[in-house]
Amino acid sequence: MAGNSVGSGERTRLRRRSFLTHAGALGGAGLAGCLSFDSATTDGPAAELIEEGFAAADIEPPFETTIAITQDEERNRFAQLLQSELDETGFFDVEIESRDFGSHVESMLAAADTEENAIFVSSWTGGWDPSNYVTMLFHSENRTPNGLNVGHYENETVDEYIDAGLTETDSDERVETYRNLQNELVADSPASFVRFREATHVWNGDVVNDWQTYPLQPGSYYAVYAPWAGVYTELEDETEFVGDLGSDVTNSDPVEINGVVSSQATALVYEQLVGIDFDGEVQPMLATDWEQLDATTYRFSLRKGVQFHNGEALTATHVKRSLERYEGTTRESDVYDWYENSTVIDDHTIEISCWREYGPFETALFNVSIVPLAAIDGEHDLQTKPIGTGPYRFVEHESGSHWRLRRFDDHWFAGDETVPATPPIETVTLEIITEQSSRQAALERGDLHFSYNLPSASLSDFEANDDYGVGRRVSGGFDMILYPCYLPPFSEPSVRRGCNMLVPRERTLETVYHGIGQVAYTPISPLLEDYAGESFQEAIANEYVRSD
Amino acid sequence: MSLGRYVGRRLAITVPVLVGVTALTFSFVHLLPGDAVDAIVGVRDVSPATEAAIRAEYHLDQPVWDQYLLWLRDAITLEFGESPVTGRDVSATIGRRLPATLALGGAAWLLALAIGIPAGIVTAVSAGKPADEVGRLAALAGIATPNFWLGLILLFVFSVRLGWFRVLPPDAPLVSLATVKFLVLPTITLGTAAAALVMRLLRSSMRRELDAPYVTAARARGLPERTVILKHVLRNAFLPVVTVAGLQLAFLVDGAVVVEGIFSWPGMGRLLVRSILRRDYPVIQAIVLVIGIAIVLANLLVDIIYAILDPRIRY
Repeated sequence: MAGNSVGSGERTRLRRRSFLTHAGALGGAGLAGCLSFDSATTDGPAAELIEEGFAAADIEPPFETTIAITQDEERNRFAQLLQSELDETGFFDVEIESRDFGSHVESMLAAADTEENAIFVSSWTGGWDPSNYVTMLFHSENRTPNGLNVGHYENETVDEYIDAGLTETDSDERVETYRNLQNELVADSPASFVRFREATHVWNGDVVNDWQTYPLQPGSYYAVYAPWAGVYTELEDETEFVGDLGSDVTNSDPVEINGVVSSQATALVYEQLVGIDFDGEVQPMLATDWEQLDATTYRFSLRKGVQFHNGEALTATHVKRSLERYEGTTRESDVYDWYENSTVIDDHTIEISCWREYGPFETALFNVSIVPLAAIDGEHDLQTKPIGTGPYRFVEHESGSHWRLRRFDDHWFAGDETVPATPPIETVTLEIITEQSSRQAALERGDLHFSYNLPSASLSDFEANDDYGVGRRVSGGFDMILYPCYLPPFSEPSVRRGCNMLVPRERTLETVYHGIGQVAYTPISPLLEDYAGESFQEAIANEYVRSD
Repeated sequence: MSLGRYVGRRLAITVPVLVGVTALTFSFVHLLPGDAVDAIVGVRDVSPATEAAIRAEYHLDQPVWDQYLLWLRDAITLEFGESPVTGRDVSATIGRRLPATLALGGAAWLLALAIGIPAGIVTAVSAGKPADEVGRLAALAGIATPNFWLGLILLFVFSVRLGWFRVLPPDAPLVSLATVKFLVLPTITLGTAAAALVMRLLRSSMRRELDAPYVTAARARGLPERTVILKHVLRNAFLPVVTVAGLQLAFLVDGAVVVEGIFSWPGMGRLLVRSILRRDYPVIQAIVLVIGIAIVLANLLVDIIYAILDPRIRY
């Protein structure tokens, strides 16, 4: 799991959790009462589409509806911008309702059942596989409460593409499938995609040398030392690295972990068969190489001389039993969405069979941490003390205060020309800080060497200051608006298409998020360049979203 | 009735009060939208069998009142079980957080009294003079300043700009020079409003007493002004202050949520907020019980001090 939510892969993975984690982030800009608009579109193509839909649904404008958001300043400003755009058309009379996080999620899960008249502002986080970004949200089988298809959107073509993407193992075919899928999704607009998020890492330049920014949040601390990815970090005159965590670590057992913070905290402790490096390439980690024997069977050669922090030596049995340990746990679907069984050939060779052809197989493996037999047999509780094969071992967790790791001297990596055998950083302390302004103050005073989670408004100050390093990369998160497809007039695709054209994306990005992030027209992050590169985004935008 | 019997009776009443408080919390928490199992599994896709197993393990499949009775049965023996969200022992979790909360709350309370009482006396006896005006203005500012704002300003000026204090708590025992030094800013942040309140209260209470005939009588007898103020007036003026100071003590235990957040202090306030957001019922219940006990004890203490201050009060 270390990479866990990172590499996610299958349908079940990141899903609802990341949604929960991020449902708080859309924002809008502008001051209430003095808004100005990108475009007054009362009689542009957007209004024509909406008018057509209202006629088809036999609804008299203005239609009264609500924009539902979490209590979040940025989202509130975004909602105000959107409200004005919609009201301006004369077709809608929109109110904004903000709710606490739990209520927001609960109402989204129940929305279709209660036919709630609301547009939901929310967000989602995917990983290294394109399926992460769409399956949970738009497949008809994942209508709430089974999944997070909040609007109970149903489109057979979309379902077929999603299913095909999951079972297709040829990468060119997959690219084709997901491009077609996104095309279909934007044409039908069950949601409006607004903004891709960015990973924004800031470090104290006097202490930290050459920090590399991993784009997905669970992997924020890989930059400390990830020999499998060819990355490590050195400190000036220090052996202790002090970073932060946005909230407390709640779970440290891979089969229980359900939050980004717990994944971040354990990313240097656990390892997986394969890793996905900073550029999205699959790299060997505990497996040295592997081959596909037939459509659903893979043979892995395991690295020799790998030791767990408790002294156990890694064997194929560890891998088999670590995989099967997921059965009956809350993260069961991470594995059993594809796993059939595995055969131990010898101590360092294992064959893994899937019950179906599975496109995201490698990214799924990045999500399965290999744990010692002591934990599998129940003699050791990973919840109180995580044990893996990673370059750092767990030292202590002071609830609400900090999480500490220390260099594991018997880590398998023997060094090469890019990464030294011994991590230069001896101790990793992650301070648990819940207030954004305190985080910034701690970084400025030098109490922290690094933070991944600063307010977007202050990033430009850090960028302008030579004492700090700033790393920014598009990540796997995106902000969106979910339409209630179960409810007229939003049951009419033309109404949703029209609304999608009205979303003030550029203005939101600039004024609400201070330019942090990237305008989104499709769900899949441009992080996966083949699936959603710039030219593809542009083509989609010109085809369906831009009115001129 | 003797004081001893009175205290005994008061303690006995405490039990139904605490039962009532926890029962109410229990029902309110369960009325909140959001499902505990969703919080546990992170709203992941789990098989119905797994979900049922989780519900059964934490008795979430039973009616709310049964769940409450089960909880109560264990709580009597201070056995709070483990948190379904983190899998950790609830008593241990609270045991680690409580000392931090008491340290910050206690320090802030002492600061409030140390500033509030002398300031109250000075402003009362110098009513209408510049010292009084300044004191009243300061108190007004103290009460009107939101503590999150004060905390951030202090942090910005003394930690970031001047670098005198750490932003994050030091990695040191609670009783250590480093920790005590760190606690200066959070203590001021938390204690300011309480100090202002105590001062205003004492001032007005003393002003009333100063006009009383017994004060004129004492002065007429030629007692030194110092004796009049400290021995006679102050003692009588103290009753309302004791009430408020007692309640403040209880509020400081749970009222530090914001300050704990700003100073990343590992106290119960942050734990409570997190537990509510995550629907971590056992932790919420245990914290509510602790706060309830604190308030009940503080009230009891107030009543006892009343009896000592005013011999006319008998129970």
